[in-house]
Amino acid sequence: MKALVLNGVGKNVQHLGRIGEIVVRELRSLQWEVHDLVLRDIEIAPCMGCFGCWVQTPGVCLIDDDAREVTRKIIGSDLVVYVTPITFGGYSSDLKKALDRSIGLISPFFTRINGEVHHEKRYNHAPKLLGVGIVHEPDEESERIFKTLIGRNAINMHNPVHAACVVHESQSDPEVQGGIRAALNGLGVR
Amino acid sequence: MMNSDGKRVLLLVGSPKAAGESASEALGAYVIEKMDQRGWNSETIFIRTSLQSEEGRDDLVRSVEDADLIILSFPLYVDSLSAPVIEVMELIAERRTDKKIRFVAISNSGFPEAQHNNVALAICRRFAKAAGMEWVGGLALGMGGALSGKPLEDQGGMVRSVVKSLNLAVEALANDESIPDEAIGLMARPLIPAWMYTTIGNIGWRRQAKRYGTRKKLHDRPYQR
Repeated sequence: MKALVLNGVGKNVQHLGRIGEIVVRELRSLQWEVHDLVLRDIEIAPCMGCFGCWVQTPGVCLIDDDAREVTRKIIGSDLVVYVTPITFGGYSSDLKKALDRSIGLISPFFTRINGEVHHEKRYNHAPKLLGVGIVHEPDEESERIFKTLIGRNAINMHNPVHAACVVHESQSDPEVQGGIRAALNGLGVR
Repeated sequence: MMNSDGKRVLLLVGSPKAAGESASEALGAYVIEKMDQRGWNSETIFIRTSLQSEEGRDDLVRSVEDADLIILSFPLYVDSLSAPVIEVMELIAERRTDKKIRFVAISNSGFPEAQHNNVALAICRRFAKAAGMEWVGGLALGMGGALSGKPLEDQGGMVRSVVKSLNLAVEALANDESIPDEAIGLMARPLIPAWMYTTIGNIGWRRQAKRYGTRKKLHDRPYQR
Protein backbone atom coordinates (compact mmCIF):
# COMPACT_ATOMS: atom_id res chain seq x y z
CA MET A 1 0.00 0.00 0.00
CA LYS A 2 1.25 3.48 -0.86
CA ALA A 3 1.14 6.58 1.31
CA LEU A 4 2.05 10.13 0.38
CA VAL A 5 3.02 12.54 3.13
CA LEU A 6 2.61 16.17 2.09
CA ASN A 7 4.70 18.01 4.62
CA GLY A 8 3.68 21.67 4.79
CA VAL A 9 6.01 22.69 7.61
CA GLY A 10 7.57 25.96 6.49
CA LYS A 11 11.12 27.20 6.79
CA ASN A 12 10.32 29.39 9.81
CA VAL A 13 9.15 26.42 11.88
CA GLN A 14 11.52 23.69 10.78
CA HIS A 15 11.73 22.39 14.35
CA LEU A 16 8.27 20.92 13.69
CA GLY A 17 9.84 18.59 11.15
CA ARG A 18 9.86 15.83 13.77
CA ILE A 19 6.08 15.48 13.42
CA GLY A 20 6.37 14.53 9.75
CA GLU A 21 9.20 12.15 10.60
CA ILE A 22 6.99 10.42 13.17
CA VAL A 23 4.19 10.03 10.60
CA VAL A 24 6.62 8.49 8.11
CA ARG A 25 8.12 6.16 10.74
CA GLU A 26 4.70 5.02 11.87
CA LEU A 27 3.55 4.22 8.34
CA ARG A 28 6.78 2.38 7.52
CA SER A 29 6.41 0.32 10.66
CA LEU A 30 3.06 -0.78 9.23
CA GLN A 31 4.89 -1.89 6.06
CA TRP A 32 3.49 0.93 3.93
CA GLU A 33 5.51 2.31 1.04
CA VAL A 34 5.88 5.99 1.96
CA HIS A 35 6.70 8.95 -0.23
CA ASP A 36 7.61 11.93 1.94
CA LEU A 37 7.45 15.33 0.24
CA VAL A 38 8.72 18.40 2.06
CA LEU A 39 6.83 21.03 0.13
CA ARG A 40 8.97 24.00 1.09
CA ASP A 41 11.81 22.39 -0.86
CA ILE A 42 10.02 21.93 -4.15
CA GLU A 43 9.01 24.35 -6.86
CA ILE A 44 5.27 24.97 -7.00
CA ALA A 45 3.92 28.15 -8.56
CA PRO A 46 0.58 29.53 -7.36
CA CYS A 47 -2.59 28.41 -9.13
CA MET A 48 -3.62 31.02 -11.71
CA GLY A 49 -7.33 30.23 -11.47
CA CYS A 50 -7.52 29.64 -15.25
CA PHE A 51 -9.32 26.26 -15.09
CA GLY A 52 -7.02 25.03 -17.87
CA CYS A 53 -6.71 21.76 -15.91
CA TRP A 54 -10.45 21.28 -16.47
CA VAL A 55 -11.01 22.45 -20.05
CA GLN A 56 -7.72 22.91 -21.90
CA THR A 57 -5.63 19.88 -20.86
CA PRO A 58 -8.19 17.97 -18.77
CA GLY A 59 -6.64 16.56 -15.60
CA VAL A 60 -3.24 18.25 -16.06
CA CYS A 61 -2.31 21.74 -14.87
CA LEU A 62 -1.04 24.08 -17.57
CA ILE A 63 1.92 25.12 -15.40
CA ASP A 64 4.76 22.65 -15.90
CA ASP A 65 6.42 22.38 -12.49
CA ASP A 66 6.63 19.97 -9.55
CA ALA A 67 2.91 20.28 -8.78
CA ARG A 68 2.12 17.95 -11.67
CA GLU A 69 4.13 15.17 -10.05
CA VAL A 70 2.58 15.89 -6.64
CA THR A 71 -0.87 15.60 -8.20
CA ARG A 72 0.05 12.32 -9.90
CA LYS A 73 1.32 10.98 -6.58
CA ILE A 74 -1.84 12.01 -4.71
CA ILE A 75 -4.14 10.03 -6.96
CA GLY A 76 -1.67 7.14 -7.14
CA SER A 77 -1.71 6.72 -3.37
CA ASP A 78 -3.95 4.77 -1.02
CA LEU A 79 -3.46 7.32 1.74
CA VAL A 80 -2.50 10.99 1.72
CA VAL A 81 -1.34 12.67 4.93
CA TYR A 82 -1.31 16.46 5.22
CA VAL A 83 1.19 17.59 7.84
CA THR A 84 0.84 21.29 8.62
CA PRO A 85 1.18 23.87 11.32
CA ILE A 86 -2.43 24.89 11.90
CA THR A 87 -2.41 28.38 10.42
CA PHE A 88 -5.34 30.49 11.62
CA GLY A 89 -7.31 27.24 11.71
CA GLY A 90 -6.31 26.21 8.18
CA TYR A 91 -3.29 24.93 6.30
CA SER A 92 0.10 26.58 5.94
CA SER A 93 0.76 28.33 2.64
CA ASP A 94 3.39 25.68 1.87
CA LEU A 95 0.80 22.90 1.99
CA LYS A 96 -1.93 24.95 0.34
CA LYS A 97 0.15 25.77 -2.73
CA ALA A 98 0.21 22.05 -3.59
CA LEU A 99 -3.48 21.51 -2.87
CA ASP A 100 -4.55 24.54 -4.95
CA ARG A 101 -2.81 22.99 -7.94
CA SER A 102 -4.49 19.59 -7.55
CA ILE A 103 -8.06 20.43 -8.58
CA GLY A 104 -7.50 18.69 -11.90
CA LEU A 105 -8.08 15.50 -9.91
CA ILE A 106 -11.80 16.28 -9.92
CA SER A 107 -14.13 17.07 -12.78
CA PRO A 108 -15.46 20.54 -13.59
CA PHE A 109 -19.01 19.20 -13.78
CA PHE A 110 -21.36 19.79 -10.90
CA THR A 111 -23.10 17.08 -8.93
CA ARG A 112 -24.98 16.90 -5.63
CA ILE A 113 -23.58 15.25 -2.52
CA ASN A 114 -25.82 15.18 0.54
CA GLY A 115 -27.98 17.90 -1.01
CA GLU A 116 -25.08 20.26 -1.61
CA VAL A 117 -23.40 21.03 -4.93
CA HIS A 118 -19.83 19.77 -5.45
CA HIS A 119 -17.74 18.64 -8.42
CA GLU A 120 -17.98 15.16 -9.89
CA LYS A 121 -15.21 12.60 -9.49
CA ARG A 122 -12.64 12.29 -12.24
CA TYR A 123 -11.06 9.07 -10.94
CA ASN A 124 -12.84 6.06 -9.52
CA HIS A 125 -10.21 5.75 -6.83
CA ALA A 126 -9.25 8.46 -4.34
CA PRO A 127 -6.91 8.05 -1.37
CA LYS A 128 -7.90 8.05 2.26
CA LEU A 129 -7.12 11.39 3.89
CA LEU A 130 -5.44 12.10 7.21
CA GLY A 131 -4.79 15.67 8.36
CA VAL A 132 -2.12 16.11 11.02
CA GLY A 133 -2.30 19.64 12.36
CA ILE A 134 0.29 21.08 14.72
CA VAL A 135 -0.55 23.79 17.24
CA HIS A 136 1.83 25.69 19.50
CA GLU A 137 -0.57 25.35 22.41
CA PRO A 138 -4.14 24.05 22.76
CA ASP A 139 -6.44 26.29 20.72
CA GLU A 140 -10.00 25.06 20.58
CA GLU A 141 -11.15 27.42 17.82
CA SER A 142 -8.26 26.66 15.46
CA GLU A 143 -8.53 22.94 16.08
CA ARG A 144 -12.26 22.99 15.32
CA ILE A 145 -11.74 24.91 12.07
CA PHE A 146 -8.96 22.51 11.04
CA LYS A 147 -11.08 19.43 11.61
CA THR A 148 -13.98 20.96 9.69
CA LEU A 149 -11.64 21.88 6.82
CA ILE A 150 -10.33 18.31 6.54
CA GLY A 151 -13.93 17.05 6.43
CA ARG A 152 -14.95 19.58 3.77
CA ASN A 153 -11.87 18.78 1.65
CA ALA A 154 -12.69 15.08 1.86
CA ILE A 155 -16.14 15.75 0.39
CA ASN A 156 -14.79 17.91 -2.44
CA MET A 157 -11.87 15.64 -3.32
CA HIS A 158 -13.94 12.44 -2.90
CA ASN A 159 -11.68 10.89 -0.26
CA PRO A 160 -13.56 7.78 0.88
CA VAL A 161 -12.63 8.22 4.54
CA HIS A 162 -10.86 10.94 6.45
CA ALA A 163 -9.58 11.84 9.89
CA ALA A 164 -7.97 14.85 11.53
CA CYS A 165 -5.39 14.58 14.29
CA VAL A 166 -4.15 17.61 16.21
CA VAL A 167 -0.82 17.45 18.00
CA HIS A 168 0.67 20.02 20.34
CA GLU A 169 4.26 21.15 19.98
CA SER A 170 4.93 20.35 23.62
CA GLN A 171 3.90 16.69 23.25
CA SER A 172 6.65 14.10 23.44
CA ASP A 173 7.41 11.85 20.48
CA PRO A 174 5.58 8.84 22.03
CA GLU A 175 2.52 11.03 22.69
CA VAL A 176 2.49 12.30 19.11
CA GLN A 177 3.04 8.77 17.82
CA GLY A 178 0.10 7.53 19.92
CA GLY A 179 -2.23 10.16 18.47
CA ILE A 180 -1.17 9.47 14.90
CA ARG A 181 -1.44 5.71 15.39
CA ALA A 182 -4.98 6.08 16.72
CA ALA A 183 -5.99 8.28 13.78
CA LEU A 184 -4.48 5.82 11.27
CA ASN A 185 -6.21 2.97 13.01
CA GLY A 186 -9.52 4.82 12.68
CA LEU A 187 -8.92 5.02 8.93
CA GLY A 188 -8.30 1.28 8.74
CA VAL A 189 -4.57 1.84 8.15
CA ARG A 190 -2.97 -0.99 10.05
CA MET B 1 -22.12 60.14 9.56
CA MET B 2 -18.80 59.87 11.39
CA ASN B 3 -15.96 62.16 10.56
CA SER B 4 -13.74 60.14 8.23
CA ASP B 5 -10.98 62.72 7.80
CA GLY B 6 -7.70 61.00 7.11
CA LYS B 7 -9.06 57.49 7.60
CA ARG B 8 -7.55 54.89 5.36
CA VAL B 9 -9.13 51.81 3.84
CA LEU B 10 -7.03 49.15 2.15
CA LEU B 11 -8.51 46.63 -0.29
CA LEU B 12 -6.54 43.41 -0.65
CA VAL B 13 -7.60 41.52 -3.77
CA GLY B 14 -6.98 37.79 -3.36
CA SER B 15 -7.79 36.66 -6.88
CA PRO B 16 -4.88 35.61 -9.11
CA LYS B 17 -6.65 37.13 -12.12
CA ALA B 18 -5.48 40.34 -13.75
CA ALA B 19 -6.91 43.72 -12.79
CA GLY B 20 -10.45 44.19 -14.03
CA GLU B 21 -11.09 40.47 -14.47
CA SER B 22 -12.15 39.07 -11.11
CA ALA B 23 -15.36 39.00 -9.10
CA SER B 24 -13.21 39.54 -6.00
CA GLU B 25 -12.01 42.87 -7.34
CA ALA B 26 -15.51 43.90 -8.49
CA LEU B 27 -16.95 43.22 -5.02
CA GLY B 28 -14.14 45.00 -3.18
CA ALA B 29 -13.96 47.91 -5.61
CA TYR B 30 -17.64 48.66 -5.07
CA VAL B 31 -17.03 49.07 -1.33
CA ILE B 32 -13.89 51.12 -1.90
CA GLU B 33 -15.66 53.49 -4.25
CA LYS B 34 -18.41 54.13 -1.70
CA MET B 35 -15.85 54.66 1.06
CA ASP B 36 -14.01 57.12 -1.21
CA GLN B 37 -17.25 59.04 -1.64
CA ARG B 38 -17.45 59.30 2.16
CA GLY B 39 -14.06 60.94 2.32
CA TRP B 40 -11.90 57.92 3.12
CA ASN B 41 -8.47 57.54 1.54
CA SER B 42 -8.27 54.24 -0.25
CA GLU B 43 -5.65 51.95 -1.66
CA THR B 44 -5.99 48.68 -3.59
CA ILE B 45 -3.33 45.97 -3.60
CA PHE B 46 -3.34 42.81 -5.69
CA ILE B 47 -1.82 40.08 -3.55
CA ARG B 48 -0.55 38.11 -6.56
CA THR B 49 1.65 40.96 -7.75
CA SER B 50 2.78 42.00 -4.26
CA LEU B 51 4.29 38.59 -3.63
CA GLN B 52 6.45 38.76 -6.72
CA SER B 53 9.18 40.81 -5.00
CA GLU B 54 10.57 41.59 -1.55
CA GLU B 55 9.77 45.23 -2.20
CA GLY B 56 6.16 44.31 -2.95
CA ARG B 57 5.91 42.37 0.32
CA ASP B 58 7.38 45.25 2.30
CA ASP B 59 5.04 47.74 0.63
CA LEU B 60 2.07 45.52 1.43
CA VAL B 61 3.00 45.27 5.11
CA ARG B 62 3.52 49.05 5.24
CA SER B 63 0.11 49.68 3.66
CA VAL B 64 -1.50 47.32 6.16
CA GLU B 65 0.04 49.23 9.05
CA ASP B 66 -1.12 52.55 7.56
CA ALA B 67 -4.72 51.36 7.24
CA ASP B 68 -7.60 51.84 9.66
CA LEU B 69 -9.74 49.31 7.84
CA ILE B 70 -8.73 46.34 5.69
CA ILE B 71 -11.06 44.62 3.26
CA LEU B 72 -9.89 41.25 1.98
CA SER B 73 -11.87 40.11 -1.05
CA PHE B 74 -10.98 36.67 -2.36
CA PRO B 75 -12.19 33.61 -4.28
CA LEU B 76 -12.70 30.38 -2.36
CA TYR B 77 -9.95 27.85 -3.11
CA VAL B 78 -10.66 24.26 -2.06
CA ASP B 79 -12.75 25.24 0.98
CA SER B 80 -10.20 27.80 2.09
CA LEU B 81 -8.12 30.74 0.92
CA SER B 82 -5.56 30.39 -1.84
CA ALA B 83 -1.90 29.81 -0.96
CA PRO B 84 -0.79 33.38 -1.81
CA VAL B 85 -3.52 34.85 0.42
CA ILE B 86 -2.48 32.57 3.29
CA GLU B 87 1.14 33.56 2.69
CA VAL B 88 0.17 37.23 3.02
CA MET B 89 -1.74 36.48 6.22
CA GLU B 90 1.34 34.70 7.62
CA LEU B 91 3.46 37.71 6.67
CA ILE B 92 1.09 40.25 8.20
CA ALA B 93 0.66 38.30 11.45
CA GLU B 94 4.44 38.01 11.78
CA ARG B 95 5.11 41.74 11.32
CA ARG B 96 2.09 43.35 13.00
CA THR B 97 2.43 46.27 15.40
CA ASP B 98 -0.09 47.45 18.00
CA LYS B 99 -1.93 49.87 15.72
CA LYS B 100 -5.71 49.45 15.81
CA ILE B 101 -6.96 48.01 12.53
CA ARG B 102 -10.39 46.66 11.64
CA PHE B 103 -10.65 43.69 9.29
CA VAL B 104 -13.48 42.50 7.07
CA ALA B 105 -13.53 39.67 4.52
CA ILE B 106 -15.60 39.01 1.41
CA SER B 107 -15.43 35.45 0.14
CA ASN B 108 -16.89 34.32 -3.18
CA SER B 109 -17.36 30.70 -4.15
CA GLY B 110 -18.07 29.04 -7.48
CA PHE B 111 -20.60 26.76 -5.85
CA PRO B 112 -24.21 27.89 -5.67
CA GLU B 113 -24.43 27.72 -1.88
CA ALA B 114 -22.81 30.54 0.09
CA GLN B 115 -22.18 28.17 3.01
CA HIS B 116 -19.14 26.72 1.21
CA ASN B 117 -17.34 29.89 2.34
CA ASN B 118 -17.89 29.25 6.05
CA VAL B 119 -14.53 27.64 6.78
CA ALA B 120 -12.62 30.31 4.85
CA LEU B 121 -14.37 33.07 6.78
CA ALA B 122 -13.67 31.27 10.06
CA ILE B 123 -9.99 31.27 9.05
CA CYS B 124 -10.20 35.02 8.35
CA ARG B 125 -11.75 35.62 11.77
CA ARG B 126 -9.03 33.57 13.44
CA PHE B 127 -6.37 35.44 11.46
CA ALA B 128 -7.73 38.78 12.67
CA LYS B 129 -7.43 37.56 16.26
CA ALA B 130 -3.87 36.27 15.72
CA ALA B 131 -2.83 39.53 14.03
CA GLY B 132 -4.36 41.69 16.74
CA MET B 133 -7.00 43.16 14.42
CA GLU B 134 -10.64 43.76 15.17
CA TRP B 135 -12.86 41.36 13.21
CA VAL B 136 -15.89 43.26 11.95
CA GLY B 137 -17.44 40.46 9.94
CA GLY B 138 -17.46 38.40 6.78
CA LEU B 139 -19.67 38.29 3.71
CA ALA B 140 -20.12 35.02 1.84
CA LEU B 141 -21.28 34.85 -1.77
CA GLY B 142 -22.23 31.74 -3.73
CA MET B 143 -22.45 31.55 -7.55
CA GLY B 144 -19.32 33.68 -7.88
CA GLY B 145 -18.87 32.16 -11.33
CA ALA B 146 -21.85 34.19 -12.52
CA LEU B 147 -20.06 37.46 -11.76
CA SER B 148 -17.47 39.09 -13.97
CA GLY B 149 -14.76 41.62 -13.23
CA LYS B 150 -16.91 44.47 -14.50
CA PRO B 151 -18.11 47.08 -12.01
CA LEU B 152 -21.14 45.72 -10.13
CA GLU B 153 -23.29 48.58 -11.43
CA ASP B 154 -22.80 47.14 -14.93
CA GLN B 155 -23.75 43.57 -14.01
CA GLY B 156 -27.51 44.00 -14.10
CA GLY B 157 -30.40 43.01 -11.86
CA MET B 158 -28.84 39.66 -10.97
CA VAL B 159 -26.56 41.38 -8.45
CA ARG B 160 -29.31 43.45 -6.84
CA SER B 161 -29.04 41.72 -3.46
CA VAL B 162 -25.23 41.87 -3.61
CA VAL B 163 -25.35 45.64 -4.08
CA LYS B 164 -27.88 46.03 -1.27
CA SER B 165 -25.66 43.95 0.99
CA LEU B 166 -22.57 46.00 0.19
CA ASN B 167 -24.46 49.28 0.70
CA LEU B 168 -25.41 48.13 4.20
CA ALA B 169 -21.83 47.00 4.82
CA VAL B 170 -20.42 50.36 3.71
CA GLU B 171 -22.82 52.20 6.00
CA ALA B 172 -21.70 50.06 8.94
CA LEU B 173 -17.97 50.22 8.14
CA ALA B 174 -18.05 54.00 7.73
CA ASN B 175 -19.65 54.26 11.16
CA ASP B 176 -17.15 51.96 12.87
CA GLU B 177 -19.77 49.25 13.27
CA SER B 178 -19.71 45.53 12.48
CA ILE B 179 -21.25 44.08 9.33
CA PRO B 180 -24.98 43.73 10.04
CA ASP B 181 -26.74 40.37 9.79
CA GLU B 182 -29.01 41.77 7.09
CA ALA B 183 -25.98 42.40 4.85
CA ILE B 184 -24.72 38.84 5.47
CA GLY B 185 -28.15 37.43 4.59
CA LEU B 186 -28.47 39.49 1.41
CA MET B 187 -25.00 38.48 0.20
CA ALA B 188 -25.80 34.79 0.75
CA ARG B 189 -28.99 34.99 -1.30
CA PRO B 190 -28.78 32.92 -4.55
CA LEU B 191 -28.31 35.14 -7.60
CA ILE B 192 -30.34 32.74 -9.73
CA PRO B 193 -31.95 29.34 -8.97
CA ALA B 194 -29.29 26.73 -8.14
CA TRP B 195 -30.46 24.31 -10.86
CA MET B 196 -30.08 27.08 -13.44
CA TYR B 197 -26.60 27.97 -12.20
CA THR B 198 -25.33 24.38 -12.36
CA THR B 199 -26.95 23.76 -15.75
CA ILE B 200 -25.43 26.90 -17.25
CA GLY B 201 -22.12 26.06 -15.57
CA ASN B 202 -22.01 22.55 -17.02
CA ILE B 203 -22.86 23.87 -20.49
CA GLY B 204 -20.16 26.49 -20.05
CA TRP B 205 -17.46 23.88 -19.36
CA ARG B 206 -18.40 22.01 -22.55
CA ARG B 207 -18.42 25.21 -24.55
CA GLN B 208 -14.96 26.20 -23.31
CA ALA B 209 -13.67 22.69 -24.06
CA LYS B 210 -15.02 22.90 -27.59
CA ARG B 211 -12.90 26.00 -28.10
CA TYR B 212 -9.80 24.00 -27.15
CA GLY B 213 -10.84 20.87 -29.05
CA THR B 214 -11.01 18.88 -25.81
CA ARG B 215 -14.72 18.21 -25.55
CA LYS B 216 -14.24 14.44 -25.74
CA LYS B 217 -11.36 14.57 -23.27
CA LEU B 218 -13.14 16.30 -20.41
CA HIS B 219 -13.38 13.04 -18.45
CA ASP B 220 -9.80 11.92 -19.19
CA ARG B 221 -7.77 10.36 -16.36
CA PRO B 222 -4.18 11.20 -17.28
CA TYR B 223 -2.79 9.99 -13.96
CA GLN B 224 -4.77 6.72 -13.79
CA ARG B 225 -2.54 4.15 -12.18
